[in-house]
Amino acid sequence: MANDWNKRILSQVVGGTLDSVAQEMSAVVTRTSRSPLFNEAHDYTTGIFDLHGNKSRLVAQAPGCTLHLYAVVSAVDRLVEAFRYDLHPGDVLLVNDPYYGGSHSLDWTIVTPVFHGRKPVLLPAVRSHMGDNGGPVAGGYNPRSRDIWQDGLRIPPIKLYERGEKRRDVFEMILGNNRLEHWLEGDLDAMIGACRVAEERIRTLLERYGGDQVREAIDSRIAYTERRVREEIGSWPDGTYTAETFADHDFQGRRDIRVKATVTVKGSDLHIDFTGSSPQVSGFINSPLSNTTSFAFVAVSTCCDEDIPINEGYMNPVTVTAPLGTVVNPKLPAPCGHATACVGAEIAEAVLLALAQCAPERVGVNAHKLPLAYSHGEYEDGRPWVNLNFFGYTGGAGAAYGTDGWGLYPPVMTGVILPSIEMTEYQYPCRILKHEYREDYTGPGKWRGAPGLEVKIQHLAESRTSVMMAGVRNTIRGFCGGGNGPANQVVINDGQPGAMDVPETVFDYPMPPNGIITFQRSGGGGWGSPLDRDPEAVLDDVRNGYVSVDGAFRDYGVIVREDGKGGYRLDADATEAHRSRLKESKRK
Amino acid sequence: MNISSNEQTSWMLGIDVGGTFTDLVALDGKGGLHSTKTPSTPDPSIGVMNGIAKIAGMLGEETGHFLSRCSLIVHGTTVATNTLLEYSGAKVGLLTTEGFRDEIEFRRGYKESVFSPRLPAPYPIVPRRLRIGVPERLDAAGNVIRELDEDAVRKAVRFLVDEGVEAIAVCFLFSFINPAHELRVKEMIEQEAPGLFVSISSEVLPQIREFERVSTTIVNAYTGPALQRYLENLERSLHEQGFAGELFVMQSNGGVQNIVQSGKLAAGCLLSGPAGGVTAAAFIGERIGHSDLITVDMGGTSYDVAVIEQLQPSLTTESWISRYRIALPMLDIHTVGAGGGSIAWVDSGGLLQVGPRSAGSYPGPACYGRGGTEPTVTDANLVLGYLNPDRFLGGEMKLDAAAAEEAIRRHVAEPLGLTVIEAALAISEVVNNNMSNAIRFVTTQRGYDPRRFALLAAGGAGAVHAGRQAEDLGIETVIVPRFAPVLCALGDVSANLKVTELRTRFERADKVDLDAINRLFDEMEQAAREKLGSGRTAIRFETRRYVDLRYEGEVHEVTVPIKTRTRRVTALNMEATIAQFHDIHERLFAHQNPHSPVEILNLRLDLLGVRDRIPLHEEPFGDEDPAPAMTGRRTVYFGAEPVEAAVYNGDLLRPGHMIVGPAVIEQWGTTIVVYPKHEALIDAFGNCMIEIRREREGGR
Repeated sequence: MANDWNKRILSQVVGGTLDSVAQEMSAVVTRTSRSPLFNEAHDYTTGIFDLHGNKSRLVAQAPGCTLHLYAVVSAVDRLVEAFRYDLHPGDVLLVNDPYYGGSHSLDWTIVTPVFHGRKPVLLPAVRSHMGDNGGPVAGGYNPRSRDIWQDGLRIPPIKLYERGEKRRDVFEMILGNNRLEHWLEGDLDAMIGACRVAEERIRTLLERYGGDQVREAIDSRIAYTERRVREEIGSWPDGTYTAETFADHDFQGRRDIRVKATVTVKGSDLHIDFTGSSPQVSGFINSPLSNTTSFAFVAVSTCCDEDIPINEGYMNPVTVTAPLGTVVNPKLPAPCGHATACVGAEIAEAVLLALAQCAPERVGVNAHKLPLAYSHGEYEDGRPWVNLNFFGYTGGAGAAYGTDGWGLYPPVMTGVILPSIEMTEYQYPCRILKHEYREDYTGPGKWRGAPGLEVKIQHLAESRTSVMMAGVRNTIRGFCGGGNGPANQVVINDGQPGAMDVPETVFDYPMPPNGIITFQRSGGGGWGSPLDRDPEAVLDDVRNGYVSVDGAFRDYGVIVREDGKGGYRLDADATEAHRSRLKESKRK
Repeated sequence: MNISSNEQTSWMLGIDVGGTFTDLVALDGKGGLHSTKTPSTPDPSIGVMNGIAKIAGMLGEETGHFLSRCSLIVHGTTVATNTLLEYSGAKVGLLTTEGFRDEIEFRRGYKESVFSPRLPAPYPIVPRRLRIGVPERLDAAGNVIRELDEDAVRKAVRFLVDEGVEAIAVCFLFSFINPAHELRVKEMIEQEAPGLFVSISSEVLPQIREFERVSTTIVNAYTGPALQRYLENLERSLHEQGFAGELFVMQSNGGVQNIVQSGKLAAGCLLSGPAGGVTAAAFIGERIGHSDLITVDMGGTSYDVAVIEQLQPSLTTESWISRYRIALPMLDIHTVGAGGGSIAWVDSGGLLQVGPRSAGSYPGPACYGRGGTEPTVTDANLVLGYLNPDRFLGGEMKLDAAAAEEAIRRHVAEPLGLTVIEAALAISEVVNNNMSNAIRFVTTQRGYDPRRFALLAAGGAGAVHAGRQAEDLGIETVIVPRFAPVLCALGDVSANLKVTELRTRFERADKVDLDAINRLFDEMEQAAREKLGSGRTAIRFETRRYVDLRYEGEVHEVTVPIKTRTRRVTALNMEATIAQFHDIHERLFAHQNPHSPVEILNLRLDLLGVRDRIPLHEEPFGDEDPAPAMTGRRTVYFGAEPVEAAVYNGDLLRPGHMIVGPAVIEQWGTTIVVYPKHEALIDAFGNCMIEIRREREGGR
């Protein structure tokens, strides 16, 4: 018995230490990387894996951008597979190929093996969204892409370092294929530096407790997570629940692309089947299986308690199937450069809409449906810049049972930190003219989505802008009777000559100096019927300018009147009468 | 000027108000230190006055007479902190650049949970209807590209005043380069609403990044009025009782400031309480020759950890307090929920957890016998024999061992199928590991190797656990200061005066305009001088200059000291500073790149008013044998097997006494566990120095 409690506690000690190592890795990446995608936007994740037979297992991770979370699992798997018998201390491995366990080729994964004795035991890994990936388009989003090679540079599993020696030729090849060479090397150093720091900590841990004890501790931690996840799933009623949702278009003319999820709960097992989703498309929204699995897992994770340690145990109760040749499991060489936004968002949305039927109080996170827009031009000295216009589309947090959506992104995206306006104006020739919530621009509900945004960005120098619209025909969905979000809108050269209200996509649209791009960014979806929202909460929203007097009436059936003193008051009786009429006519 | 050496009858007083106790340390002119504790009161100033009466009584003096001879009182107060934690601050309005009034709600997208959509929004200390955008705009160089619309400002101020705000915060984009618009608005508010608390960002934190700046400025406006009121009342009460000296407040940055400046910059007083402990640790470290320290302070609900390197406590600008971002430099004190009252529970997956929920001081741990039924760390420590049920708080409180056992049995032992002792050991192991990870967070995660530090343990139970953290992290020395139970108050009375100034200046380090930088440093020094006031209690002034550097493209900067022998920064100084930056970067992040361009982001300046050193009382070493202080033996558990440990009355231990573990030292306000094979020595100042045997690599 004494032995048993010791082991149980040891698993907690080792697991806690590995989590803190993953966090330390994350701190190193943030602080030392160069491109704003890393250091301002935190678009990366760090994790530690172990080797279990021929498979790697996720052991610990630090919360960064959770959308990378499970994609990194399959990337590490592919790397281990490729170098199974050729791993040495001091090796650094790299892969970005979506068809080798990736998501889109902008996300690169670095792994270093940590040895105990002569065996590789643990593998710290960093997966990040790089600032550029060569290919036809700066910044990497190429809406004209017809195949994986037009998405950007495709890197199969390779070694950047071999036995501690930097492979200069390989580095040169990679740097030579990148527009942001000056950032890329620093970013790679940051990722590798994070793995090196982890290596040192892990070695101390192995020396102290021994390989077997650490392995046992990891097993028991994974088992613990699995137990907790099974407990959650087991509390949902058995049954099969189906939902479908649509992506607006594939940027090449095909519209309303279906993602269909059939979720089967049986005891503590969960099966997610994407049969019925659209065939793969020619545009770059195809989601490789690893990306599809990643978004499905993220959706499930948001329904579980957040104190459950994230590791392999999360995945054991859940199985995912997707027929080959569909938009959720395309065949090589279908392009997939946009998969982490579209159809990634729709995948998570479909799974959550299905889960809403069996676990309504657990769902809430909405898809992000980003109207992605990036601009590029040159600094005065001729160096290129690429500005991702983060301010324009960061938003859209949905409501959940018990709470309104708030802030900007939904939680799964909030590892991603918005850059500072002032820092952006220092670093890019641009000026942010407006960045504020917009009235009546979100999904209403018993709990409403976070307000939508109005954002104006002025590019001071001549530039070109590409926009990939989403969430216009098929907007962010509400749950359990909550309203959907409104349509996103982007206008280039707003109020200026050459104004263009972007229909679906534009590519390299010219903007003269001082051109303005305006975003109307949808808020999140609502949860529950807006007619059940506390009228006092609606009044409060009117007072704070989130909802107009008209919006209160139209969206919530709440009658708010001006109080004659510049303020507002609730007409409680009229509201109650009006709401019961509305509910009555709904019933009919 | 040395105020204490000429007048032997002059007193200095450090007063720290904590959640449970108000601690006092009085220093006489000859280096004699006296300390006491009294219960804290809902209005903290009452506890302060009670404490003063108590300590005066101990010294055989009448309160008024004692106070009239106090030249200085330094106060560590949690008034600002609690105002923010309880969201009980002023009604605040915000004026900001038109088009940007929601940055405080956006929080740059940051959320405390990356998964749960069920986490609610933070309490809005400035709701949106009280946030008003006014037309004005500067560009990134500080040029006005849109004039300030004064009519709009006036209208907005009147609206806010009509709404009944008690404070107005002002934060415009790029005001850190050109504060003209903010200053004008401040002037206008003072005309429109004289006496209203005004907090402008270019005074609170003239630093790039609008969210960090607006959040800090709002928090300042939110907590300022309450702190100002409290300090003015306290000063009045003290004066009425005969006090004619100066009243200072401990700052989050580890220095002290007068009450006028403290009231204006309440956001700089949010760590006023714990900062005293860290400052005291540096002070003690200097006396005993340990310049690299990890300090831990274990209270009822929390465990505070900080790092001191070369006698300088680490600072951070990355703090979040009560879900609000405070970007002012403050001591880097990392807090986790691992206090004596932290509750042990078994989660639904069958894992034992400790904290973060706490039984607090009321009802407190089960063993307090005040109705608490859930097991806490204190209960486990009692069951394991570390604590003496009859001598807790010097015997002021009896502990109920049966209640502790029952709580552990019901909530931990039975669910896990363990004996009560095993369950208590498990609780102890989990909380020890939480503590060790907290120390890793401020050391290894910041690039420090904990093995080259000594561990200084304070608080009631810090020294019960410290031996374990030392073993975990390979630390060789644990220091339990004689003043462990009143460490914060000792820090208050020993701290230097300090003003920190900061200016953003963005340029490439290899193309730096040294004249401009020197002009800025001069300006900062002057501003600091003004804020320091008379500085009467300082014996000399010291200026320290720093620059925040980063590689081009990085967004996080590293603060590097500039070493100058003169008041001017020379080209050579700058080169040396940049060379040091590369090294620090390597230490923190495992790589450096000497060929990459380096950017300057901010200049920082600390003006210290150095106070006379407190002469600590020293005694020569006597006999090694601690037998005279031994009170008996009792059964203690370090593993499943019971061990007989000697028990000592710490108040009877004398310099030179040597105790080999296992042993327990019970002293007033604190308990020290000397683990097996550890050796404790009482040093000349009465501190308990514990040496830990260095394990072989790969041992244990």
